[in-house]
Amino acid sequence: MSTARKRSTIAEFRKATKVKPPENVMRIMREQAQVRGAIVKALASGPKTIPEIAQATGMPVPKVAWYVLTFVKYKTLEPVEQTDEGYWRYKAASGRR
Amino acid sequence: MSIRPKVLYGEPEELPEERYDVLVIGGGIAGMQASLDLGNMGYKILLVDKEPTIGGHMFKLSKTFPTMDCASCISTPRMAEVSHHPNVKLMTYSEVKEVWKDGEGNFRIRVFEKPRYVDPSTCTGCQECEFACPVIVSNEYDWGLSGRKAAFIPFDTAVPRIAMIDMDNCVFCGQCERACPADSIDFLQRPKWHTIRVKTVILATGFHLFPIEKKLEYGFGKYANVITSMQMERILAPTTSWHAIVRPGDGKEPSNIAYVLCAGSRDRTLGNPYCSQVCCMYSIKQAQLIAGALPLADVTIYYMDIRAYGKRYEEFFQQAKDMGIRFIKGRVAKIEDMDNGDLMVYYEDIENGGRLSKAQHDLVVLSIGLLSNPEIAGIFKNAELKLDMMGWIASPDENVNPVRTSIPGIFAAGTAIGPKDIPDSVVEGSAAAMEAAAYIEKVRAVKPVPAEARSEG
Repeated sequence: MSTARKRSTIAEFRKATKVKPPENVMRIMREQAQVRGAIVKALASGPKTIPEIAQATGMPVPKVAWYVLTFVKYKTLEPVEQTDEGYWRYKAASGRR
Repeated sequence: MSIRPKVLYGEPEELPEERYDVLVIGGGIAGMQASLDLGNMGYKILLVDKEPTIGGHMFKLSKTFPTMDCASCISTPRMAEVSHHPNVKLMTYSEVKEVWKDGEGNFRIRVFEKPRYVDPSTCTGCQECEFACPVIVSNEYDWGLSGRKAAFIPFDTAVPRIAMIDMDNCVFCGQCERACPADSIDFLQRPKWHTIRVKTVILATGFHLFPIEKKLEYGFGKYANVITSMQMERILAPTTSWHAIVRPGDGKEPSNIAYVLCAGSRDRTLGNPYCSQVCCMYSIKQAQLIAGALPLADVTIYYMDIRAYGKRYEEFFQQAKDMGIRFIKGRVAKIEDMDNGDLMVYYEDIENGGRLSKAQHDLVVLSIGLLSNPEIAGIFKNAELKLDMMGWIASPDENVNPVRTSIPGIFAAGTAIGPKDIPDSVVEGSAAAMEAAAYIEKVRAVKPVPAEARSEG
């Protein structure tokens, strides 16, 4: 593994191509940052199920489900326990990335 | 599924001509089998796959039927064996664009290698770029069940395990480049054109899945708890990104699951009249896996006929019945969602006089069929690859030599020829390898290959 950083290829790429980030992807990225923040904030008061997170954030349940399952994959969230109704409760992962 | 970069830096690089004995197109189970068999015979093989990883569909599956072996435990060592074989060269994330027949035992091939924007020689597959990337998009390797980053490794068991940048969804923030401990991110990578000379070609280009959103009555894409059988494969697989078997609509553990067979197969209204051959058995397999993982769950399979035609398939079917899985003979007419995310399934109850009935389930799995991959015929520039009426590769000698095609020296294997299960695909991979070897030797015996046309080594 090298110790000295090589040149920034992204800077050269941007300079050479003059390409701008796609607006739709920028919009999605900004929205995702908000979703992540809202979910983590909702979980600050304790572990919650997906419908409970949806209720706390005002987001549709399927959308919350998709993000929660993705954030579990990326270790931002972790499952804690299962309720009698078959739902999992989630919390923000310790040492999350 | 293939990711096609729209943003390209610089003109494609033209590489010097390379020579191999055999080109295998498609790195699924049939293509890998053909490559290994030929490599073990001493032939030099180039295996090209349009995806960033070899493995085809099998490595995404849960288990095989009827033996219930772990699918990725079988396919992953095979993927590693292919990548380490001294006689097999892998070219992933590359597409064969042109095949020219230049006489007996001589094909000229043009292959387009797409840039990954990651240096494969230094990337360690650590995923630091993936964790740093701020963009999440639908993960095609999970059939959209979860998200992946724009900088990502396609799969935990990907071969080669090299990260890549999805430029269509990149915001050029440079976070991946800053996070990479090996300095492997390279936004200046250019695509490459390869010119290849080979003596024979094996087509193992696989299948597409039926786009079941076309069957509007079933509500796929509209109702969150209607999923496809391939999505269920990912949920049940040991390599799943989910932590438990839950409904995608709300994260609840399902307790009453329905399977709808022949979804997109044997359906003239969708222009797909044939049987996909594997749906009955993979559905029975999944039902058994669910019965094992969720012992309190009810599983109901709605079917027209159960086609348990293979070795030990009938016993597998009977075993499912003994495990308490319910089979209802009847075509599902439509599916409607309910307020709590459950689904109402309307069906024709054939065994009870054909009356119309309905039943409530909390998750519906559509057992989708296989479609042909007819685009492969377009790469042949001076010969015609004949397809059958449904777009599968046709053999002029189907009963005696199903792996032969309309072009001498071009062979086919696996689901490129027609729907089939994994053991049959493996058998055809080996059969195509034998035919390819026999063809090379026949050409060599009839007309000695000039020294300059021989592959190196």
